[in-house]
Amino acid sequence: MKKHLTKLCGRAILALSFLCAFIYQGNAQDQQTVSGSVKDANGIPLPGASIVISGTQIGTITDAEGNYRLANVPTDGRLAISYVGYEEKVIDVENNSILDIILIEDTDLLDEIVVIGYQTVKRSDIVGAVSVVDTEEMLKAPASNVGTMLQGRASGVTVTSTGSPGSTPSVKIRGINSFSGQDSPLYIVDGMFISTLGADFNPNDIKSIQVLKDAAATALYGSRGMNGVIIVTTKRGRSGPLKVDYDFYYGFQDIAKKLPLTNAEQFIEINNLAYTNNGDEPQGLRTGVDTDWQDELFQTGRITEHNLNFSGGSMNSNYFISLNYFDQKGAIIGPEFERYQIRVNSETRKGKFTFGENIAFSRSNQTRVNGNPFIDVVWMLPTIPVYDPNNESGYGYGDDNNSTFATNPIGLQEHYSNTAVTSKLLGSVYGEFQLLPFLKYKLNLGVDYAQIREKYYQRAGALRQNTPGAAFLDDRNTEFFNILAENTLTYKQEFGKHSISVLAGFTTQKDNYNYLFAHVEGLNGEFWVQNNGTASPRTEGREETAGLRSILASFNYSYDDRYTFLVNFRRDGSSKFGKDNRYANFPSLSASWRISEERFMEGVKLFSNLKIRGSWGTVGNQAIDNYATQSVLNYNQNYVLNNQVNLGATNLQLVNPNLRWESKTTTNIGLDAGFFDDKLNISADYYVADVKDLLLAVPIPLSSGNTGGDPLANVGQVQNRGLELSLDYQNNIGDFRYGISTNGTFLKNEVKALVEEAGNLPIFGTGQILRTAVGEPVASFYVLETAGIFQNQAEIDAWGVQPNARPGDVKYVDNDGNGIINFDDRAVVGKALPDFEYGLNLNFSYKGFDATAFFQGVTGNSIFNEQKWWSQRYDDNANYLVDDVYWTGEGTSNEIPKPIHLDASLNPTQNSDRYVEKGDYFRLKNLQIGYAFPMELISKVSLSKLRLYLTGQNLFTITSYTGYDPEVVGTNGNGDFLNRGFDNGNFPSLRSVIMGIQIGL
Amino acid sequence: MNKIKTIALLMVFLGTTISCEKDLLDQVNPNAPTPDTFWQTEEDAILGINAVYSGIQNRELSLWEIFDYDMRSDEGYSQSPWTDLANVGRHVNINYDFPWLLEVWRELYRTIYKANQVLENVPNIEMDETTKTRILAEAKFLRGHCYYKLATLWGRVPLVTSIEDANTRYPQGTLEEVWAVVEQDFKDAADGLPVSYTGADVGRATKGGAIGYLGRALLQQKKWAEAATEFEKIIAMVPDTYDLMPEFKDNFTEEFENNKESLFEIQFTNNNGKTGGFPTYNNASGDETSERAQFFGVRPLGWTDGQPTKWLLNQFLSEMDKDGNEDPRLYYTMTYDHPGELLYGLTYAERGAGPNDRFWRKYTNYWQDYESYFSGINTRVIRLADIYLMHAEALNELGRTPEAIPFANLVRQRSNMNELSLTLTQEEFRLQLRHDRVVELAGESVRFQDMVRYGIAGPELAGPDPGLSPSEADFDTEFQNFERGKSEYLPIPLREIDAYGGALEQNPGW
Repeated sequence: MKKHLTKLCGRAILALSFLCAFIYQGNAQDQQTVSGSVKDANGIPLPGASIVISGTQIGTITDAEGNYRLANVPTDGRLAISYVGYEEKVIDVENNSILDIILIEDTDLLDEIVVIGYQTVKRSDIVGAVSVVDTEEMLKAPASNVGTMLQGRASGVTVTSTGSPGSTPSVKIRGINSFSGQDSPLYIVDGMFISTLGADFNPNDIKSIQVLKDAAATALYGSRGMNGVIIVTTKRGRSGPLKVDYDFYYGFQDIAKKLPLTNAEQFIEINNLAYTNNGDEPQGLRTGVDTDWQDELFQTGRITEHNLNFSGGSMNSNYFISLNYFDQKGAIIGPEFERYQIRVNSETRKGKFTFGENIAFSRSNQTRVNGNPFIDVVWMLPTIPVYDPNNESGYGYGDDNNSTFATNPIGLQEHYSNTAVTSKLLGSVYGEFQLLPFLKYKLNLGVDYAQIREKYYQRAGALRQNTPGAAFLDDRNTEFFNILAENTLTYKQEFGKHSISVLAGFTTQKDNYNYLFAHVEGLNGEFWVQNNGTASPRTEGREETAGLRSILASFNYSYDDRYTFLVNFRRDGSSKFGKDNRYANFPSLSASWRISEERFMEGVKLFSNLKIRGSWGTVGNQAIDNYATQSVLNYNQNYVLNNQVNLGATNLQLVNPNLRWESKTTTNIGLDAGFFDDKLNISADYYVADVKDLLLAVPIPLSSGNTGGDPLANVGQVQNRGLELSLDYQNNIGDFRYGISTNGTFLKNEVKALVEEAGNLPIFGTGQILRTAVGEPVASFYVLETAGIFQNQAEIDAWGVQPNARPGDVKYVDNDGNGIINFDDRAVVGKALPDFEYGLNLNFSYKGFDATAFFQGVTGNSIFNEQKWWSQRYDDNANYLVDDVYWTGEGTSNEIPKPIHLDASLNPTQNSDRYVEKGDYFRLKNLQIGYAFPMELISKVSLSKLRLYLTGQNLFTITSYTGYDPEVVGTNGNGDFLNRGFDNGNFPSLRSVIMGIQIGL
Repeated sequence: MNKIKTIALLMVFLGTTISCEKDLLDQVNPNAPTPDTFWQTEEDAILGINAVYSGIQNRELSLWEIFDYDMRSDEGYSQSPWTDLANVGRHVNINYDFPWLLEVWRELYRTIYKANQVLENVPNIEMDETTKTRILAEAKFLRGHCYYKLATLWGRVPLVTSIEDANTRYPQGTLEEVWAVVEQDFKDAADGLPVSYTGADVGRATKGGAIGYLGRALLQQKKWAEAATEFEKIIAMVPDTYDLMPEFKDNFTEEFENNKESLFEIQFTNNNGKTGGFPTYNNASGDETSERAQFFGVRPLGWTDGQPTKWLLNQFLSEMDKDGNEDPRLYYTMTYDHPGELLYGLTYAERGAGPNDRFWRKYTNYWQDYESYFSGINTRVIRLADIYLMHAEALNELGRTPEAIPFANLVRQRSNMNELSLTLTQEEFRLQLRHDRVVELAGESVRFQDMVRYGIAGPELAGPDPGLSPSEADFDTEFQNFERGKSEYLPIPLREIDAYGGALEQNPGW
């Protein structure tokens, strides 16, 4: 089939070239040549503006000076002059041979054309809940990836990112909708469906981003629409001569906060006390060494990017080529990320035929963070040196007199190596054919190919007490090859005030995945290749294929721009499910009423726009692994007989063969209003989304004998309710332009059902601390509650439920009142998802100066602080905080217990509300000040643009959280419900200062 | 215009071609067979039963269970800086999901699931009937082994004897019901297993193993007469099938594995001759080794995560052999600081060990000058000396003391200990037998069950000075935390209680 495809594509291109040679001939009439210039209101020429004879496709574009010349124009004809971002103008020729035209900038956002569900519409015609991201403001905050940039830019979108170079942030739309771990939105980049948009994608190529949130908007994405859809469209050339843009920035990054850990002297005092308090001799800590592990690990990182674009076009074609280089050196020793990308976007039209492609190839090199260095800096002792030549590895770590089971965090990064090289081709090729003036056929072929080469090795020698390490090497080569073919027919026609558009499509997607893994030990010297290994070679490999076949249809009827009805439908068939559950239907209905267009509103000057919207629909999620409904035999279950290894085989993991799609039904009502000639726009959406048949890895009893992940079942139900508001105001006083745009998201999330057959048992996440239970929000912190510290024996006696406690122990609350403290006393003390999230963008400009400040924050969530757990548990050695006032006698502390090393009671170690902190924060995410040199000046050196800017990121954060950073994703970096809000060494966001220059030729 | 039409046709053709792959939605896993296509041949049956054996060998069971049995008895204690680990032996389990508890529970049930797969699928395979009978009996034996451990570690556990839907919550059994499964499995196993194997099958479960294990299960329930009946069956197999090895020490080394004294062993091999480093666990050929020696070995060669108590040393020192020398079994069981004692070739001082440090020697490679994760020493689950002593106990409890004493003497004779007088009273012999079991079987995971069966496990065992470490005191001071009616069993993992949602009752006191 692949051969087929190549051959056919070849032919199509050949045919296209023929077409381009095809010459039109006009009819002889009364004709003349018209010439003139096209300028903006300030008299600045507009090169590349298009001048077309109305009713034909004959036309030309302006040259670099904004001049044009068009022959054979009928004397009674009309010319349509257009330029992107300006209002189109149509004028009668009326025998004039010279026509100078002035175009007015189109500032009305409602006229913007946006891409939603296989079609483009004017922003004012949107019926569903769609956030249109201001990409221009977004791109002012340099980052390696789109996700980070999206944070706070769109209502209903929750982004949590870390400072780890090259990491992909967690992006969730309208709360956590799925328990499957596949709860991230679907991305559609220029028509290709992809599941993540990571740092291997150059964000500078982005022209627009639309976030589709309700079922009306996402139903056409059917089984993949449940977590929301983010549509990314990349830039295209605009007609005109070659335009060159070069952007460059360079900046420094660091970790804004340092925990106040004790130095060696302070540490020895507390640690000795902890030993003495247990009746033991102090361990005999090393003296003369005073390591500040944070200083040793942290460094000033840097970030730099070069972005070079070439673009241009003629009447019938345009091109956009971008070259990108991004480089980031981490703010701790070790991690780095580097990206090279080239993109070619072009489109050619001839008559009824349009052909185009958007293709990007990238290669990125990532050095990953090893282990958990942000925990180890707390867990490590200041009496241990970073480097210790007496150890085989050359690094210091715990020993019998300086005991700790922390791993040397610097050794982790330097002595071990963890790298990934990703080569990625992402793109689409499409052809459009205008069969009839009102009927268009489109074929879209998409490809997402990635090859990921991962290499992990450890040099010999220990980095942790009692944990010897031999050298080994792991190589993994992973390949993804996903292809998509979409056939769509679009019908669009107007009958007086009636406007109808219909879309029908047939699509197929095939995803291939495979990996090959090799392990070897006994490597000699610094030669990290498999061939250099001498012992224990081992290989693994796996292949997977998934297919998805769909039909889709959309019907849109609109009357007089006032009433609009939209019906969407998609039917998906997926290979992931068993035969009986393979197909599912996803319908949606929606309507809008543009009240401001009604005659009775003519006298109402308050509103320049007023629209109400309503929608209902169902979307799904096919979030299961390939073959998840098929159980398998596992080999390598071997046993020794007669001193020989005998092979064994058995089934290990239990599966549920009857899995179905997850589905979500959303009801959404929305209101859009514009005031003061649309200078002020507000938008509000309220929705209720019921998710059912949630695929849940039901924690079945261990006694089932299951090995590996718990089997999935369609059991859960969750409801998300939310209110999303956005406000945008742009105005100017003379040359002073200013604007404010803000958005807020209120989210209420409640679990309605889990496994009903089994009594709706809660699901526990990391460390049995995060609980998801019916009637509670997804991912609640479920721990013991404390009531201070026992000050004396009398308090212990009065408290009653901890008879064995000693003064200085933590006082726990007997929630179930049964007279003892145990796990049944745990209670919900917080939740991982915020109640309210917001973003606020302020922008100003005056002549060449511009400034932008972007604030972002969340409230209502909690975080489990594992660093605090280490520094305040005392029974196991770790560093302490200077500020911590521990109990040393009656009245000394009611927060922090008496330090007792090897305290067999584990009293302070219990997971309790002592370690759960408020996660609210408000931060200045981005601040940029720029200056653009005036045209008169730079045109002398043949430049069209020269702008300098200075950007600061995360310059301040207001929070009560005592860990490094309140922006915590969770233990696995994905932010799913089992791990969310659990700070076990989360890589903090970075504080950056960046200088940049933008040059246009 | 024809060209445009051609392009249009081409596009439609192209579009439909790539959209129309047949069977796109029928993707079959290309990576492994499914249970539906497996279980067809005799070879499959053998692969299936071998997988069950691999379950009892898994380190998360075979290694951790030693801590759960031996550190909790008065023979052992732990100085591990990992508080949760050290706490196991102190009868203080704060984290019910501590891996060395939870994983033992989990691996026992995983092994039971593997055994149940054999029991449900192998009967339908067309194959040699003798082999089929044997394989089914082996599965019963291994399931019985698992339930014996569940019965002694946790008591009232879920009864899983068939394979149901993945979401099933199998009912919690009473202690009697759990023991009933153990007894039935071993009875069925004894009926179907051969007396012995040859060649490549040596190491599989035997009839004698099943009978001996059944006797042990009956004895633990104080079903003295029934237990004695089973032990007699074993004794009838002496000397043709079973006999004591000439030397005590031959039971704990790689040499003389599956010897005449042995009724059942967990098999290990270090067939790669590897030393040092960590094993890689899912390696098909490399890691069928035992880590016991590494975990108990002398610091800094091993982790010394568990050590023998001073009380245990005292037991050995309390009775000299016929020649007035120390009990020869002491040297092969544990080390203690005295002139001439070498730890892997070096003296106590050279190894940096303190005078109160004592280390397990049994099951370690003490004759080497190093220790490693790769030890091939099989774990002896039941051996004839144990059978003799259990039989002696059963007879004594039945009031047949004079008949009982000779069995204890058989064991004593081998180690050059004085023979016991046949005139001992029942109570005198009872106490003597308790001592004899300790010195013969220390570190073989029987003592804790013995203590529970004797009814002696209690806080008073901590002695007069519970503040001392078990390395200093003449008593296992860790027993100060022992609560009668509670500490006999471990807490059921919280993970399991949560997954049952109220349908699984926690053990009393936890």
